[in-house]
Amino acid sequence: MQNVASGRRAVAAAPLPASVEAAWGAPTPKKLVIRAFRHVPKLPDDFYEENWSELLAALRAIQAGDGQCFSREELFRKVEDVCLHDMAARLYGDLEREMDRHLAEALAVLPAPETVPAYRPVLAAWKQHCRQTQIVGDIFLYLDRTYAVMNTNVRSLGEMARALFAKHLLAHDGRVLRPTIASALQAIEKDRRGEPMERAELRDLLVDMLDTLGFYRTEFEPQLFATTRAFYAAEGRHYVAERSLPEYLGHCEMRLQQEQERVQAYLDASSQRQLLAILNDALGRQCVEAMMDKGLEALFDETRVDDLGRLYQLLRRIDATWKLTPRYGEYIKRRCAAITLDEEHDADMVKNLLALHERAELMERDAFRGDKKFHNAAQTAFEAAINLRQNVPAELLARHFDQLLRAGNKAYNEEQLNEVLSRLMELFRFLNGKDVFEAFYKSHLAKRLLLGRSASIDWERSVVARLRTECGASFTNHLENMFKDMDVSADLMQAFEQRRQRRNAPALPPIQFHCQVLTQAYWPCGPPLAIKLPESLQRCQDAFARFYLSKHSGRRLAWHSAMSTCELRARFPRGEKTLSVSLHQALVLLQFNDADALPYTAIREHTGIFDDRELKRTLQSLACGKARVLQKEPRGRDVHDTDRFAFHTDFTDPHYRIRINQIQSKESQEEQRNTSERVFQDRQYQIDAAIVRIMKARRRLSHAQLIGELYAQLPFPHKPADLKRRIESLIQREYLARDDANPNAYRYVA
Amino acid sequence: MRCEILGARLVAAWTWNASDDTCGICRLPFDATCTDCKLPGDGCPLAIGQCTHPFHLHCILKWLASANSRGQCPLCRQEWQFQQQAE
Repeated sequence: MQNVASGRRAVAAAPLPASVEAAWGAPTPKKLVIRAFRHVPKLPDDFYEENWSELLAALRAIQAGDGQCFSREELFRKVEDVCLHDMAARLYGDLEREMDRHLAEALAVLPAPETVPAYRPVLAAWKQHCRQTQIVGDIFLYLDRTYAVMNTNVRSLGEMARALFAKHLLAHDGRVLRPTIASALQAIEKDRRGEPMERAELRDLLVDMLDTLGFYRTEFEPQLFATTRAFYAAEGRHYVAERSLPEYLGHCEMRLQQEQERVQAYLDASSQRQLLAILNDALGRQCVEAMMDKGLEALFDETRVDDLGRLYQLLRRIDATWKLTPRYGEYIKRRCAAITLDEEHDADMVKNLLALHERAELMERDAFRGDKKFHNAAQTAFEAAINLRQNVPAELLARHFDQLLRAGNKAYNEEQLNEVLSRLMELFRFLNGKDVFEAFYKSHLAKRLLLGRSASIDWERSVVARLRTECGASFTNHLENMFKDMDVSADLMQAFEQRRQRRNAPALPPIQFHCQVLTQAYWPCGPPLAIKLPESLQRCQDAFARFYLSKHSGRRLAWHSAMSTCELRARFPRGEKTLSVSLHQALVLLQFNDADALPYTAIREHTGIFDDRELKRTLQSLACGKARVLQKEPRGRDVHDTDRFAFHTDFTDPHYRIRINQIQSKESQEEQRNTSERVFQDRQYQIDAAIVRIMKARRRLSHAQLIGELYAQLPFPHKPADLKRRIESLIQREYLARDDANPNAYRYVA
Repeated sequence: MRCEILGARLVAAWTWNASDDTCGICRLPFDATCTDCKLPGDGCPLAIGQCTHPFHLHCILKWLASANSRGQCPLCRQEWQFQQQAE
């Protein structure tokens, strides 16, 4: 000690300057010497053993479950002492050995796995172990904080305790771990079967214990996945064999939800994804096709939007909506084809198609969540199915429009009508033969306009506007010009009336006279019929014709009596009536002003209606219809040349105004034929034009090439035989010639 | 008088009043249009010469504008004069 002190002084004195040396060098009267202990204090030899034995006793007591009789403070000090005397490593080793020994004992005496559930004692041991580790950690805190922290290759006490527990779980080839996991899996299966089980306990076991020990991911999870797959695969087989599709779908959804809850309740969140994937695969992907075979059609038929929605979501989850799309398309096509081809129920065809379309829309919107793929599939299906039958759907669709737009249709209010029209337009979009539709629509429109049957001119225009947006202006040109003709006629009538009043022209009979002048090319009118008008009406007509031709020279007028209408006042003995009739009906009725009864031939002579079919139809409507203003002798539905007709003197009717309709059925059949004929002719021109156009551009083409190009160009369905006939005709007319070298080719003749 | 007419709505259709049904130039019916027009009716009227030959107005104008017409009617080779339209 002294040496050390003087040495220090010498070191310090060396660099000091002389003056300071002088100051230090002054005489020192007294000196205090501090001496070290004679004997270095020595630890008692049994210092460690003594401490350890006490600590050990405490440990044992804790392990036995009663550590209360020891002062933790004291024990803590002992640990601190031991550590301060550089014996931490030894203490650590002893502690580890002791815990190891205890765990080996504790886990070895666990009851056999027959006890149910087998994981319960292990879990108890774990919980106890955790408690003890906590206390031990408190006591050995100093060891932990100094020795274990300072040495990187030494584990902290907590880690050490966990590792020991893990070691003993795994020991003896997993004698403890295996039954533990197996029993946990059994509990989960029980849960899946809906039997009661302790969820909190399982959570402690799986998340607290296994996950902490690192066995969750390595040992437990793979087995969980395997059993899950097996469980749901078995369930799937059962459902395919015995349950219906809606049950299955509901079940899948429920399972999915349950499995999510399960993960929340006692599994690690990281398992969820894989678990749901397994569920979807085993219960969904493996079975859904078989299930769809079982009951899909019924779901579609009954428009079970909820179930279909479930199915869609299920397929979405397994990324297999493409399995449903073609089935949906085929279903629509099958139903639509059944409706279209059902000739016996033609009257309901459009109604049924509308219903089907509405259902399809509902399913696409609510069940398939507006998935475009499904919409497209349905569209394709509709288009294919509606065009399976030529012309008829187009015709019936046009007729449906007619019924909607006709006056007296009270079935819909404005909003509903708008909706129905939109839906009809959707159907219209599917038609291939739009020209057929146009022809029929036109003839219906003509009737509505000329006979004043249209419900509202605004609606008429709005429909035509829709058709224009759908098919372009050239499609609706004629229709729009028909409206124009109506307007022009109205103006014309105004001018005519003015002239009639202004000039002192010969007075015309007091008839509410109105005349529609049509541009022949736009209107579907048949050949004019020559008839004998009554003198008063003839004078009006002549006056108007003179007036019209004076305004438009270079034209001529043809009178179409079939479309003309008349209003008559009829004096029946039992009351006066106003009759709304066609011009032909009026002519017939007027014959009875001078005669009570007339034979058929006389009526024919006097009216000038020499078309027997038309005259018979007219007579039938007057004598055999709802309002029988004439009486036929002999009675019967059909009119014969030998029949006699008499004015019905006993005629009564509750209404004052009576409209006598034309007989419709035969008329429309004939009209239908005419319209189809017109369409067919138009198509021939179009085919001719297309052939010439193509050949003019290409000069030489083989037959197959020409047909191919025609298919691309023609906007309506056609048969190869028709095309051949047109080519033949063009060759005859010397627009084309067969190629000299190749009989299968044509060449354009300029 | 049992029945008397209160009112009537008659329907007439107008066509061009010509001595022929088809145009001598384009060979298309007068009820249809000349080759350049899309819509029949007022938009594509017909013209009648003093020689009484009718054509689509557009057709005859095109013909008269061409060099080798020499201002003649294509059917009878008389000098082409429009018939005065009666007012």
